[in-house]
Amino acid sequence: MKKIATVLVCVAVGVFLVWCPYLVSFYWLRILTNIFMFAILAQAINIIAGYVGYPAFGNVVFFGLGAYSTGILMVKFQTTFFTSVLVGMAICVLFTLLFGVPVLRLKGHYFAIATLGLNEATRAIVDNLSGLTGGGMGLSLPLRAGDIGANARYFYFVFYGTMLLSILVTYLLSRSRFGYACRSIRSDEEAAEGMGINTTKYKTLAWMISAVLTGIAGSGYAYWMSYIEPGVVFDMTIAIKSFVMFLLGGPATVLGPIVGAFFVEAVSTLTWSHLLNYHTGTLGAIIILVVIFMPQGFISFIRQGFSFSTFVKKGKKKFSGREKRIEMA
Amino acid sequence: MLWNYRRKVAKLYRTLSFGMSVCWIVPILFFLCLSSPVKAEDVIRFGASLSLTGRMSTEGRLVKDGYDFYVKHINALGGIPIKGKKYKVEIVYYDDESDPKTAVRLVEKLIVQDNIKFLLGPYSSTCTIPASSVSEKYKIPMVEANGASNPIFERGYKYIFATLNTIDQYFGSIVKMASEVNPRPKTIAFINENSLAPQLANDAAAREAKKLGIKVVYKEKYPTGTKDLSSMLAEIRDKRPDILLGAGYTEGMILLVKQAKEMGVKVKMFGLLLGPTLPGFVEDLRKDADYLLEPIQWSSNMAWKDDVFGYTAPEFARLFEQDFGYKPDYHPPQAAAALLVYHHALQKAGVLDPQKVRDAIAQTDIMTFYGPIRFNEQGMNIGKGMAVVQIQNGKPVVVYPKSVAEGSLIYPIPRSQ
Repeated sequence: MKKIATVLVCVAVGVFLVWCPYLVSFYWLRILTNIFMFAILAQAINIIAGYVGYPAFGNVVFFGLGAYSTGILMVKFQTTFFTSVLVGMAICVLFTLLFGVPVLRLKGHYFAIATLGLNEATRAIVDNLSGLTGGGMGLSLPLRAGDIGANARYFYFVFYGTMLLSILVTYLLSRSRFGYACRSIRSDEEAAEGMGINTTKYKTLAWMISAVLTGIAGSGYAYWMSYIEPGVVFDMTIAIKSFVMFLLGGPATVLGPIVGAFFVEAVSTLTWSHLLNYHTGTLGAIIILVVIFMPQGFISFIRQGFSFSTFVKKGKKKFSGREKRIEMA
Repeated sequence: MLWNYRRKVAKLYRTLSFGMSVCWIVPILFFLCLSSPVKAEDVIRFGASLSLTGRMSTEGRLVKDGYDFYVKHINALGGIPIKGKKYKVEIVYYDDESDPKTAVRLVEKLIVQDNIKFLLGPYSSTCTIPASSVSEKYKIPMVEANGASNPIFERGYKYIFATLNTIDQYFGSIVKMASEVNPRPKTIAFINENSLAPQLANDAAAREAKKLGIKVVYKEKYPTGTKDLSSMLAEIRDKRPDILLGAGYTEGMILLVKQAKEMGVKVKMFGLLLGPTLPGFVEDLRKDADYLLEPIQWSSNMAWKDDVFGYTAPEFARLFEQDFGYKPDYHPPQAAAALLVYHHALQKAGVLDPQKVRDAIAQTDIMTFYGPIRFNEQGMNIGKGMAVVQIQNGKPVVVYPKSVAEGSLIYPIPRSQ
C-alpha cells in the first residue's frame, strides 16, 4: 500500500514537472533547471559515496571535463551539442578507467584527498592548454538559436531528462546484483573480497557511472551558460554543495539526493530573495539544524510519514544505544 | 497514572507530527507564492546583482556604496526630474556570492520576477559576461561599471554599456608614456597571471609596444595562486629589459614586487595592473612600493565636474568619505557614473520604456565627476582614457596624461632602488 502511494506521488510529481515549463515564469524555470542539475550531481555522488562508500569529493573534475569537452568541440570543431555530450561521456569513462584502478585502492580520507588532487591537477592542465581551452581566458560557447522561451524549455528538459536517467540508474543499481556488491564493499571490503566479489571491477564501474552522469551535467552547464572558465567548472564549492545535498537527502537511497537538492536550492533561493546580508548564515543555520535533527536524511523522515513521534523515539533509542556503548567501553 | 500520561504524550506527538507536516507545506507555499514588491508610481527602480559575499566581496561592497551614493544624493534633491515630475530612485540588490551561475539567475529574477526595466552591472567580467547575455535576451539595458574585459563588448550586443575603460587600454597609457620619455626605452618584459583580464591587458600592451617600436624581450604567464615567481624573474633579470609590466591581482602583485627586489631585477620603469592605489598595498611594501606605476580609471584630484549634482572629483571623494567612512578608489565613482548615465538617458527619453531609454543611452555624451562618458556602438566608453599614477614617497601621484598630472614622472628609477 505504502509502495503504491510512493509510486503514485512520484509519478504525479514527475508529470507535474513536465507540465511546469508552460505554467511558471522563466525565472522559476531557471531555478528548477538549476535544481535538476544539482540533483544529478548529488545522485552521482550518491552512487559512489552512498552505495560503495567512497567519498569522491573531487567528483567535480568530471563536471569540468564534460563542460570543456562540450566547449572545445562546439567552438573549435563546430559539432552539435549532442555529439559533444557523447564525447564528454567517453572522456569521463576513459578517465575513470585510467585513474580508477590506482585511486580506488585508497580508502576513506585518503581516497577523498586523492580525488581532490585529481581535480586540481586536471584544472591546472586545462588552465595551461591555452591553445585548446582558452586557458584562464575561458571559452565562449555559441548561443543556442531560438527565443527565450524555447531555450529555457530546451535546457529544462535536457536537465530534467538527465535527472530522470540518474534516478532510473540508481533504482536499477539499488535492486541489482551490482548494487548488492556495492553495498557489501561499503560494509566490509575485505569480507566482500573473501566472498568472491571482484571489488575492483564493481568500484570502478560505479565510479564510471557516477562520472558519466556528472559529465553530462557539465556538458549541459557549458551550453546553458555559454561561458566557461577553469575556476568556475572545476570549482570545489560545486562538489561541496552536491555533497551537502546528498547527505541531507539521505545517503544510499534512490530519491534522497533529489529531495536534498530540492530542499537546499529552495531554501537558498528563499534566503537570497529575502535576506540580503544574512542569507549565507541563515542557510548554514538551517543545514546545521537539519543535520542535528535528521541525521538519516530527509528520506527517512518522509518514510516515517513525517511522524515526529517515531523521529523522536528513534533519536532517543540511538542516544541510549550510544550511552550503552560508552558504558561498555 | 503513568499509562495515562503516556497516552497524553502520544497524543501530543500526533499533534506535533501534524504540525511538522504543516511546517513542510508552509515554506513550499511561500516558495511558490513569492510576489514582487508593490510598485509605486513615481519611483524608478534599478536592479543589480552584486558580489557581496565570496571571493570578490571587498570590491562588490565598493560598487554597492558607489550606487548608494547616487541614490542618497539624488533622493535628497527629490529625485530625477523627468518632464517636470520628480521620480525617486530605488535599487533592488541581490548577492550573487561571486558566482556567475547565481549572477545569471538573479539577473533573470530581477527582470522577470521584480519587473526591473533598468539594470546595473555586477562585479567582475566573469559575472558580467553571462549576466549580460540574459539582459540582452530580454532586451533590457544594462549599464555596467565593473567588467572591463573586451569579450563583453565583442559579441555584437546592443543592450550593454560600460562606464569604465576596457582592459586592453590599461597598460596602453603606460606604454605610450614610455615612448615619450627621454632616454627612450628600447625593451619591455611582460609577466601576467593566467586569467582573463591580466592576459588581455598584457596582450594589448605587447601589441602597442611593438607598434611604438619597443622590443618585447619576455612575455610569460604564471598560474593563479602561485607562491613563487623567482625562476621567471631570474630569466627577466638576464634579459635586462628597460620596462617591466606585471598583470595580476593583489597577492600576485605584492609577490612580484618583493621577489623582483630579492632577485635583483633592475628596470627603468616598473608598472603593475593594479595594487599601488589599493588600501594597504603601500603600507605592506613600504619603500619597495616607491616608483611603481599603475594605470588608473580615476583619481580624486582630477579636474572633472558633473552637471547633475555639480560635484567635482575632489568633492565627490570628500562627500563619499563623509557618507561611507573611507576614501574612495575608482570603484565607487565609476559605479555612481553608471547611474548618471541612466539619469541623463531617462531625462532625454522622457519615458520609462527600456527600448527608448536604451537608444538614449547609446547617444550619451556627458561629463561626470568620474570623467567624460561617450559610447561607441559596442557600448564601450570612448570618452575618457586611463591615467597613470606613480608612487612617490609612499603617495600616489598622477603623472600622466599631462593635462591631469600632479607631478612629473621619476624616470628612470634611481639606481639605489
